[in-house]
Amino acid sequence: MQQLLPLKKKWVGTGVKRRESKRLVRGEGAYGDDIKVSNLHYIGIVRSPHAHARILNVDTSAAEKMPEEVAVFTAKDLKKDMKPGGHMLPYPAPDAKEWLPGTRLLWRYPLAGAKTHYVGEAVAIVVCKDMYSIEDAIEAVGVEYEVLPAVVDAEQAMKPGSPLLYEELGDNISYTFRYPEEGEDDELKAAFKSADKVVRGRFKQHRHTGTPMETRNVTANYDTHNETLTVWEGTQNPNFLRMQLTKVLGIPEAKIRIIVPNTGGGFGIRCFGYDESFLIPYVAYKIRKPVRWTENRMEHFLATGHAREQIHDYEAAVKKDGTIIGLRDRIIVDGGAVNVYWASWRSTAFNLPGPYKIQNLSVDLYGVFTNKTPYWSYRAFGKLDADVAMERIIDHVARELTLSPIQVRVRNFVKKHEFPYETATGAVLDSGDYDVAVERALKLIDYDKFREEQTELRKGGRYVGFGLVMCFEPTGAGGIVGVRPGYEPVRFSMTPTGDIIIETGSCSQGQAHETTLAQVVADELSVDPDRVVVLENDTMYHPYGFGAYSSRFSINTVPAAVVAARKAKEKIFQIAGFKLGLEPLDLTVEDGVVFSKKNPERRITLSEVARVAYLGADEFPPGIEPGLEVLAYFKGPTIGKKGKRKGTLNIFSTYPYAVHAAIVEVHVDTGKIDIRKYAAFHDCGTVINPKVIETEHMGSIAQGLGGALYEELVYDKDGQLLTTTFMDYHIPTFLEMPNVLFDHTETPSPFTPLGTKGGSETGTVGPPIVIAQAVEDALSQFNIVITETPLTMDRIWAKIKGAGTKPH
Amino acid sequence: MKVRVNGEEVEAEVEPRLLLAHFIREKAGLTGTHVGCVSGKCGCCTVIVDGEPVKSCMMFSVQANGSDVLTIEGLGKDGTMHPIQEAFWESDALECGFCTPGMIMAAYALLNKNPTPTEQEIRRGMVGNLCRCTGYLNIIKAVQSASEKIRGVK
Repeated sequence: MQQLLPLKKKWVGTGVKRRESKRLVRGEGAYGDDIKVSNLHYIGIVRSPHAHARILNVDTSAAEKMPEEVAVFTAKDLKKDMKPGGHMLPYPAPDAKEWLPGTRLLWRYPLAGAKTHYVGEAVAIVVCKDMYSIEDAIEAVGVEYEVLPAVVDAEQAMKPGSPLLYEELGDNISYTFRYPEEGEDDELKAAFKSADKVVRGRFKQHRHTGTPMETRNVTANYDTHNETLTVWEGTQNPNFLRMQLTKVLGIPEAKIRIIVPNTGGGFGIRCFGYDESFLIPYVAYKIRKPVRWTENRMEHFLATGHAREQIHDYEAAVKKDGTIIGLRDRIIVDGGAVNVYWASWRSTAFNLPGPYKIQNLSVDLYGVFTNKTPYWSYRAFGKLDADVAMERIIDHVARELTLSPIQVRVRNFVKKHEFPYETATGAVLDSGDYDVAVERALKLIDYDKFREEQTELRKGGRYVGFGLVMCFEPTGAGGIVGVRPGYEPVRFSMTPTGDIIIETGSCSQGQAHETTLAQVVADELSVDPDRVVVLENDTMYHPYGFGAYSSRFSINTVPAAVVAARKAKEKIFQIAGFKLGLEPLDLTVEDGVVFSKKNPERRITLSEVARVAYLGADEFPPGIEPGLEVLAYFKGPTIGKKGKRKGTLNIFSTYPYAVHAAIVEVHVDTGKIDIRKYAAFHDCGTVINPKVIETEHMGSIAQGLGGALYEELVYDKDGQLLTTTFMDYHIPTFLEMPNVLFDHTETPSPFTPLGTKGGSETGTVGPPIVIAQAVEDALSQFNIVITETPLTMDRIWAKIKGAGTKPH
Repeated sequence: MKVRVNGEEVEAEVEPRLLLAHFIREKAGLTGTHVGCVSGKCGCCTVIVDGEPVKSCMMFSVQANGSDVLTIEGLGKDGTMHPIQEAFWESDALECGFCTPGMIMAAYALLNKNPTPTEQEIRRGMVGNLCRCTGYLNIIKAVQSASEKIRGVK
């Protein structure tokens, strides 16, 4: 694909202020719970206090007697009115088996019926006239449970004799993915035979999640006059929700409208439909009154998706020089009680080789049912889990071969001249220069100076260490049949008075879509960005797109806007040419004026062209339609491309990356880790707004830091979640976030018109792996190996104590 | 009960258990103050009550009877922006904006007490406000910039 940069790159690459911020700093952003609706009724949810139980009876009589109570619903009501669903599909789909290979199919209702499978699962709904009465009504609903033994460990859940969540399945396997499909190939077996060494190990990642500052809320109203159901939800996929609601509730899709209000953070956690996404619209439809449900923070910890809990059992066949010639990974995912988000796990298998040339690979992945909150899609969903494992495997290999971790990475990297590169899993890596990123990161953190310092500090009894890792993040998810189309639409319109309107099928939870799209279109048409209005978030009016996740905005929506703007520009030049009596090829546009390249005094403003397009009946070229509205699409050209090996295909468009480096100090008497220096060197292709990208990266790194050191979702053996407030679940505060040395290169993707790759998912990957490596370096005298996250003080302290050797 | 919110009197009959945060949002109709956790940890609900920063989800509205409450809507008059709001905007100190009103009110309180805070003093002074989007570094820059703007230094 030709790299066609716009005429004059004035706005793309500039750190303009976000226009969204203007209303947000004034407290004028209308988030879901802020939207004023008259006659609003409030919904409360009765939730299961047990991890695993039969539901014997739900007694709503006391609740129904309360004066403030308006309605109560249980699973019995749902079964009468609703179709069952599941698995992210507009369901139930007759070809679900084909669309969901490897998934154990479970069609369910959004209220627990015969059984409950996790603490926090929705069991009944109460509706009241005022907000605070909900608490009273919830208490008044009496549920009789027969408590069953819970299983909270994935490996235990896989053993025969384990409590079964879904007896009809006969076991607790929720999803399987195997690569290669037909079993290991001879090349892999040969690699293990010819290896100089086989490195075996296990790495465990723990359960944590995104916790955006705004909890979930859903508002719904069924308007009987135009028979339209309107739902306000901060979902990342409004049209998917619409498709699912039509199947489940039976209301025509054309009569369902999803509005995405200002949303307080998504991070993947707001993707797809939760039970409440169906329950609240259902209630609105049934009682014909506007209703709202607002999650409190404890509910959020229990009922909004968790992530990252995986075990990787690996063996790597290696050569003495550090080349990894074969890799096997058996992955166990603790998937929680419902297997909605299998796509995360598929992505783990897909991303395993990362930026490394490991063509002999086998992956054996099991998603497992446990009596815990369902596993969802948290930033860098599934792919981060693979990154973390791969980077730890590399560090293990380095240790076994007494090579430096940097050496082994560089030895196995895909090289600059080898792009586009197809990995063993079918990933088509678009472009990059990983070696340069490593060099630049080392410079950024002043590596040479550190090694001198380390020797001195060690003499003084201080344990300082260095780490450097690769953060590899495929972006632009698509190509999974039936579920994730790899494209986005944009509608470009110029109004008769010359304003530009850009409409997308995306939505923002803080990613500055309005600002960055205006910059892109401003460059395409050579106008001021203030002239470009960006509209999204309303399925009734905007083109049919698939929402924001996996950094798809930069990879699909921005390119679609470029395509639309260029098509519009063609038409503008045709109309302008006709008016001026010139050939369109002779024309160019600058600062809102179209003029002749040969004779610049022959000119016409864009606004005048717009007037002609809509209102100038006889000033119009023949054969051209009136108006200036263009609907365009962009699909990543490599999305869905079948790989060399059977069953493989490319499911991400572009492949940004980052190299993180860190210098840490470990206090051996407490296990505390101090970050002395942190450097992030990234490449996400062409950057539209460097200020936005930098802020996003810092937020991403903060989340990674939380996952590395502080955040942990802890269950007891009965499946009770012990961490349900910010007092127990520690997200980083002002005091934990270090200053970050930050720099980047821009290696454009050949697969998007501006070379954009999207995103700041790489930041989240870095901290757990770079800190683990740095801690191992700091404590090298103790021979400490980090085999699990998080790296909490007590765990590090225990490792030091357990090492048995005295420091010298 | 009666409260002066941003200089205007708001009178309402309330349940004893009504939180100040909900009074501000529902009775005074000012939805700029957000509720993020209802347990006093995240700071999204920070407002100024009688000159002191308060997490309004940790106070019953009746406890504010007769008091002066300043919310985000009370900063910047007649369409102008308070220097702290300008500084947040210019320093790109927000993304989703949900924690932002609470952050700005906390910064307001901090700068009132300490007009020239160091980086460490800002980190400590604002530790009661959580953000999940920005990683805090730009917020620190924004508070430093706001300090300069307020003092007329630049």
